Amino acid sequence: MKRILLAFILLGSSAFYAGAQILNGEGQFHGSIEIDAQQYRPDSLIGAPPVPQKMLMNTYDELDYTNGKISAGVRYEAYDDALEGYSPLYDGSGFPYKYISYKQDNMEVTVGNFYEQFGSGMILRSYWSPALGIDNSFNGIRVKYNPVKGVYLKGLVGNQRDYWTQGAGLVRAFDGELNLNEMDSAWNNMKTKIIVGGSFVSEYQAADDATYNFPENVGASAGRLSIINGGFSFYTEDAYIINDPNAINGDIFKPGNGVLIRTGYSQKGFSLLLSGERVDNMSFKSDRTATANDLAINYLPEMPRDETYQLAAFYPYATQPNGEQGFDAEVKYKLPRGSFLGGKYGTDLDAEYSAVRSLDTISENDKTSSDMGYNTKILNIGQTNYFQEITFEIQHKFSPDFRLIAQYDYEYYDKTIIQNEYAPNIISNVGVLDGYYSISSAHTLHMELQGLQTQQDQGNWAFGLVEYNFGPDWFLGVLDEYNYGNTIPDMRIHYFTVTGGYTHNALRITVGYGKQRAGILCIGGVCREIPAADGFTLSITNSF
Amino acid sequence: MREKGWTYDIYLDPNQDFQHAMGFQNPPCTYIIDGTGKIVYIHNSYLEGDEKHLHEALLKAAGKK
Repeated sequence: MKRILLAFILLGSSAFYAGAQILNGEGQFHGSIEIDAQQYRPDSLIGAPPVPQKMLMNTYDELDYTNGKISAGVRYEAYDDALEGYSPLYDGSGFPYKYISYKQDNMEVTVGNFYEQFGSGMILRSYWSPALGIDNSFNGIRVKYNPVKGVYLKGLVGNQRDYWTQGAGLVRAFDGELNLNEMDSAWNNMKTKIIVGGSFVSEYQAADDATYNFPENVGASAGRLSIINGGFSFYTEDAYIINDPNAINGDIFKPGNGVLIRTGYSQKGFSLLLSGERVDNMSFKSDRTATANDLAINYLPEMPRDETYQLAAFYPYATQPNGEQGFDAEVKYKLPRGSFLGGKYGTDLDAEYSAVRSLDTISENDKTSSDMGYNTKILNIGQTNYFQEITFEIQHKFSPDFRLIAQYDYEYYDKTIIQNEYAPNIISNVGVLDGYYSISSAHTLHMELQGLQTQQDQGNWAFGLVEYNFGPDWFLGVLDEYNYGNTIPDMRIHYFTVTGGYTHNALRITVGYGKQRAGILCIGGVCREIPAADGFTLSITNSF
Repeated sequence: MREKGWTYDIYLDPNQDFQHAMGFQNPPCTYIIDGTGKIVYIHNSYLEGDEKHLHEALLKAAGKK
């Protein structure tokens, strides 16, 4: 109760300071608040378990101070108790994030907690995502140094956050990046832009196991190259982990390897983007016994895009760190204004194809090499299809007041591999109609109609949404997700929700009431299960 | 960006440093900053129709100068 009171006091004071800056000499305070609360009523039909606390809440409050070259900050988190779908290891409260930083012309030093990413993140990326319940910040020291024009160096040492404690592994890392165009004034205005980078990461964890001779130091390296020339772009990164037997790969001593290529061409009215990746034994954590999303040092690239429409996001893909190879192609084209099919305002077309397969692996059964686990041939394609998706989207403005988006989505989904539970593969077709109508200069009506067709899993679903925007501050909406195609008649349930909200400057308050279907939220290939729920929801965010 | 025909500068925030400095957790968040560096407009979230209010705020901010 005290923590809830503290959260509201902080919220009240931030509202008081909202939009203003407190000046203390040259110093400034700023910060942010987020409160997410949910009521849980047991509902066995939708699979909502009884929750003894009846209401759960997550709070994140941050306060930062900047004065010239120095900045410092602290974040308070409280889970009273943690919302369903978040690890109960979060229950409680504390100050898991705090730092002091000194920055001058070409150097910056941070002591305490910090986030960092090298290249695309394939050997190092720490970030904070409250929606996913991920916070793998480093706690230690980081130095950034820019010795000459175009050369950027970074070094860090630290342990990673693990709920209210720290991972056992100590991470030491270094990254160097050369921005060739910045290095010499003669190259500043060159049409071709080139950036080259390299990183090295070493993680130390003591080992005292009777069976395995675990390496105490695990090293990883990566190189990257980016070339941009007008409308053409090309990015590649190659990463290598020496040997990291861990809980994710079954304690094998095989090295890890990852490759990412992204390339594309774009001009006004047209773009084509192609991506490919291959990941082989690339789980890299700062504790060899860690599982799930805990203590990840790296972040692996995602091929399929994150879907925003409710039913199109029904079966989302989760990146498979032990091994996968993927491909993605996206084409966008704008039918010009005034053309026959373009109409008065033009029409946007978007098509995307993505596919992820297993690696082609051969088990190592020979006694002397069985601790390597398996072998693969780089150019071979695996036998198992994990995921395939084809999407077509058209967006057309019919008048200054009315705009419509239509989307079709085909998906093949290997639920056994992706969700780690034995189930048949799922083939689904999703259709979406999304319309926006301006009622007046201040008010807008938004309506969505969606359908998901599948013969597997829970069968067909329909989704409808009506949202009214009393601009600029208020909105009100109703939505219903209906499992009309379930083979069990009792399970043909309506998940009906009413939602409303108020936005003013940086303050946003959203209230909802209704049933929420059990599902999975994925952002960038990293996922969190969201359990079924029935009751009120409240979300407040503000920054100052 | 090129496909849309947008000609203004876009900066990427790969390590979320800018997001952290501004203090918002849930994009989109829109800020208008005037010529003196003062934040004159903040709007968190986006609902269809918000762009009209953004346009009015921009005109107001430009009118001041």
